[in-house]
Amino acid sequence: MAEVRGLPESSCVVLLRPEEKPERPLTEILRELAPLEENDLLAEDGAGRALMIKAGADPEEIAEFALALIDTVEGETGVRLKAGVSGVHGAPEEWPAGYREALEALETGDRFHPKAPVLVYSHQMLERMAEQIPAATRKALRRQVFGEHPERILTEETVETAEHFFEADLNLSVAARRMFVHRNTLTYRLDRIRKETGLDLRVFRDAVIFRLVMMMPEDE
Amino acid sequence: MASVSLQHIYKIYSGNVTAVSDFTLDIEDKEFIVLVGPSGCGKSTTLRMVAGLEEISDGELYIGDKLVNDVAPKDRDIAMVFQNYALYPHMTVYDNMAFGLKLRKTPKDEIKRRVEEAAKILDIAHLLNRKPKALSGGQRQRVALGRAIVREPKVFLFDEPLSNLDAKLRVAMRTEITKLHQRLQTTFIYVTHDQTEAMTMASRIVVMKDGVVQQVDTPQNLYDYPTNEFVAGFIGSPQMNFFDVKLEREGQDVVAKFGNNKIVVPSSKIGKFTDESYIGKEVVMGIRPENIHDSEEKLAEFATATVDVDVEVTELMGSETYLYLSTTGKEGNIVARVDPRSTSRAGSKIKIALDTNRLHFFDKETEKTILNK
Repeated sequence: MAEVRGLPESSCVVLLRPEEKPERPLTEILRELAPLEENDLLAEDGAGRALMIKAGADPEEIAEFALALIDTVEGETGVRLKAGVSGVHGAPEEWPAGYREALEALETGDRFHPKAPVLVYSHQMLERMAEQIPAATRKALRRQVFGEHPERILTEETVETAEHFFEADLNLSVAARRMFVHRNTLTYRLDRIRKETGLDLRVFRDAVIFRLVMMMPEDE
Repeated sequence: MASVSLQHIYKIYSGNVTAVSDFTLDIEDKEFIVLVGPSGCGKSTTLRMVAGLEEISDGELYIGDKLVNDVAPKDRDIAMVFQNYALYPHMTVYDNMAFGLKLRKTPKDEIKRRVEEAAKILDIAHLLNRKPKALSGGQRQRVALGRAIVREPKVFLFDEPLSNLDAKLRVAMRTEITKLHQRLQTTFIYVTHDQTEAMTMASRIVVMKDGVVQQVDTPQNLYDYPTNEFVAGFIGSPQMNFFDVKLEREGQDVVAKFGNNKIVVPSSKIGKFTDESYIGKEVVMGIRPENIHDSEEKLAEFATATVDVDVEVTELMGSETYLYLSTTGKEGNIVARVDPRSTSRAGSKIKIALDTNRLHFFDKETEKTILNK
């Protein structure tokens, strides 16, 4: 593909959505507050969201930019934003695909991570897989792992413990340190999860099952 | 520098969901106030109302003498440090710190002066030309603090600023923020769900639950004189142990009975009851882990308050050991914080002694303390 002069060689689409309709158009606020670089583009998407083509080849870095921008906008105006970040794209013909990815990242985020301010498309593969599983299968799997009353097992403490443990790549010491609890406390909690679900999160196979079933959307 | 006064503040969302109810607090100039409570208790919402990021449904908010309910966030002369301490990755540390001032069209010289001064305070002057990628988690957090400091605000607001840091760094930054408060001599309002942060940093703590203030007091007073069962359980780690007991009179003594256990409540404690009619009733008794002992000496000292227990788990923490114990009449574990040289082992049966001078009692229905200070 030929390089288009003046346009970024690679970029991600950042879709910014206000949680409540701001008093002024969002793009106007962003033009005032966002530290845009030369090759960045900003436009409205016709649905109250702002679309930013952000030059760069690293979605992580662009996600960080989005997070900083969200803080700036909120701190200055009180307008709370959420951002969806697409994968990396090249020529302008690829931007529509980037837009769709950023939108999907936002929508998937609403279902799986409602509190996260920045949702990155490339981080959501597991979530998208979970959504592909038919509702009846999801229900059966949830019942198999968590029984008739998942809420009794998936308490805030259990979910937090499991998430920290997964984030720490199943490393007990690292997870315990991050959680600010003693290693024995974490072991005790993992033993309790094993007793309740039959899954030992220290075993990779069981951890994958637990993680996947835990993130499956509940049936409407 | 300024005082902050919240008068009968409410936050009611559509659908009549009350997030904060009748919040009244006078924060003095230069105070370090910590709002603490479990998630969903309304602490962040309260902070956001002070910042102007949430509309106040009812009540009045003053910063200094000025009513600021309808003042825009940027005009409130406050600076907020968020949880995620996000920095613009393509900007240097200097530019990240200067960015807010540039938005306000502050003159270049003034920006330079403020950024350099803040960098000096935070010991990051040598990092000003670096990009965020080249910084450690702690350095990034300092830059985020610097971004707030350069604003020279009347009030600093912190929304769980340390929750994304690992435990070791969190402890270090806790000290840094305390030092910063002493150095800047400005009003700090700090939100956390971590009671240890609250206890170590605050001049006063506001404990919240379900949008309602439970108690406002100094850390020590909260710890020693919790006004209700919630505060007693929330402040202190491991948390206070609670027992459903029946208070009965036996001869000269008043005893607390649970399961097969019976302990004598000292008369000095009974003398503090708000109402003697609690004797004969079921109440909730509380005792902190450090007031439960397994040493021979303490078993002798509190001979009328011993309990037979099974040791389920022991956790050696280095400077202390936690014992997780079970006994009749107590659902769940009793946690004791004992000397690390304790010989109690998991699987054994031992006797423990409760320091009865340190007992707390709560009304079973209202959950409020039944002890006078």
